Amino acid sequence: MSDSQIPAARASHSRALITLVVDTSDSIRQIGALDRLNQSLRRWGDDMRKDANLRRISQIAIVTFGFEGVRTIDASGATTGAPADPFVDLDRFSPRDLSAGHFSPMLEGIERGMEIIRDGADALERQNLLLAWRPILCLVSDGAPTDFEGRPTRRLGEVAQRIRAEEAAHNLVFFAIGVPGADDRALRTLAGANGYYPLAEVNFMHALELVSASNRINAAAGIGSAAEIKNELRQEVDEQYASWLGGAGG
Amino acid sequence: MTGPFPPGWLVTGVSVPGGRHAAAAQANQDSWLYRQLADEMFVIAVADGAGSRPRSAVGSRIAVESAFASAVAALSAQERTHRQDWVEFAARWAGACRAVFEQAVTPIAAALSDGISEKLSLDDFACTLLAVLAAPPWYCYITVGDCFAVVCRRPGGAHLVVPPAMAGSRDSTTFLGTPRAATEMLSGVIEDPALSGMALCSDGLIEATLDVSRQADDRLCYLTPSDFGGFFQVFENADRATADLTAGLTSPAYAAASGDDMTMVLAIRR
Repeated sequence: MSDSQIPAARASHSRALITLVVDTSDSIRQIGALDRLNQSLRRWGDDMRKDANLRRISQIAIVTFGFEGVRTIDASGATTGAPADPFVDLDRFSPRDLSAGHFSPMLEGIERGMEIIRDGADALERQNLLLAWRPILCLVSDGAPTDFEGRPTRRLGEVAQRIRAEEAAHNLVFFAIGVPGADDRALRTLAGANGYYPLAEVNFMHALELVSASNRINAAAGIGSAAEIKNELRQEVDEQYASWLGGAGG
Repeated sequence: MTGPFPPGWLVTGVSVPGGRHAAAAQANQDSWLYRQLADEMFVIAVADGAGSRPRSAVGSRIAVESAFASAVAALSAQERTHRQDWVEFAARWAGACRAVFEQAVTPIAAALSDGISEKLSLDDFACTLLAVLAAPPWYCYITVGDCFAVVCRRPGGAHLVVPPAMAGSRDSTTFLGTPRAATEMLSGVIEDPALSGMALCSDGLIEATLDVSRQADDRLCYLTPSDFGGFFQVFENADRATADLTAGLTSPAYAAASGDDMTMVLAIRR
């Protein structure tokens, strides 16, 4: 260190966890949206990397529901199998193209996401790392929840209650983004009135930019409650992204 | 730097907007203050406006001014020679600061509410605050929220004496201007004839300047790294101290460490 320099910035000791729970059921293929979903995921990673702070601390995991049931994807794209650690640093975020098909076990996908966040937070603790802010769990879907056989599920209330409990314990913040065709009632039940954003058109980039916005809000809120973070995001969306939303919002 | 200085002391402060605030064309919501009271007695303060509150930048400015005004008001003519005298002063100062802040914000909130449908409240000006009244060898502090203070002593090096709340904590940050501040604002006193410097920082500097370590009770806590004293070396060339500190805090490495505003007030005993 020379006389004119301050001490070097310390190595990062916190992480921001983002978990995407993405619908890859047959309906995504039917509406011809799979290519756009894959392209949007890549572009979103590039956009996120432009923020030097997010690049330093963000880790991303992807859970899909639909093709081959519920899958934890290697978000680095290094392997086709389930990764040992679902969270990859933003610098390494480069998921392979997702495939679509089968039914829509959305609730089981969300539960997998919650497990991943709990395990990820525990892993950070073991490494003497801190959570920078509340982990984000974001659902992106164009459909309605079913069981693994395509039958309507009766577990909606149970899973919604579990999400509320995780939020109340400050373990995560849950958002849902509905692509046209989504079951608005189900997604609003899961995310709460202030946590659901139905898009006006099939635009996954809009969905992922809302995830980025929630991340920014979360960062600014610091140690805020899930309700505060959701209120803040709702306000920002109303001010800046209202044209992206369909009529069933809020 | 900001003179006049108390005899034997140099003081400077720098506040730089966080990368995310700059990208969104948002104002720097931090504020800082240095003001001499008498001879070697002075106040330094840092406040960090709550990112989620619309008028928190104004709130943080009012907070540091309130810290100074309330310190003056809380100092009685009675001589303070024992530790208990300073402990009582610090507690009185904390209460006075909350009152002065509320009294100052209320008319401003009313004025800024003129003509808008949703009236501003005290909560819209919420911020964290850390202030020190230095009267060597006594140093009284008041704090609410997650700013932090490091002192340097000769001999002994740097010590984190007012730690920030742990990131990822399940507790929400407490802000000045909220009901919780009445019970959660802390005050304290340090007596140290060997204290050679103080650094007051907003939470935007946690990631760049502190380490994390596991303690004997298995909990994680923040620690001051061994080279933290290097911040006080900016005074080796006093004319350049502010410029050098600014250059450091605006460097790419510091900017990457936090998207939040970063503020540091340094005071050193020559």
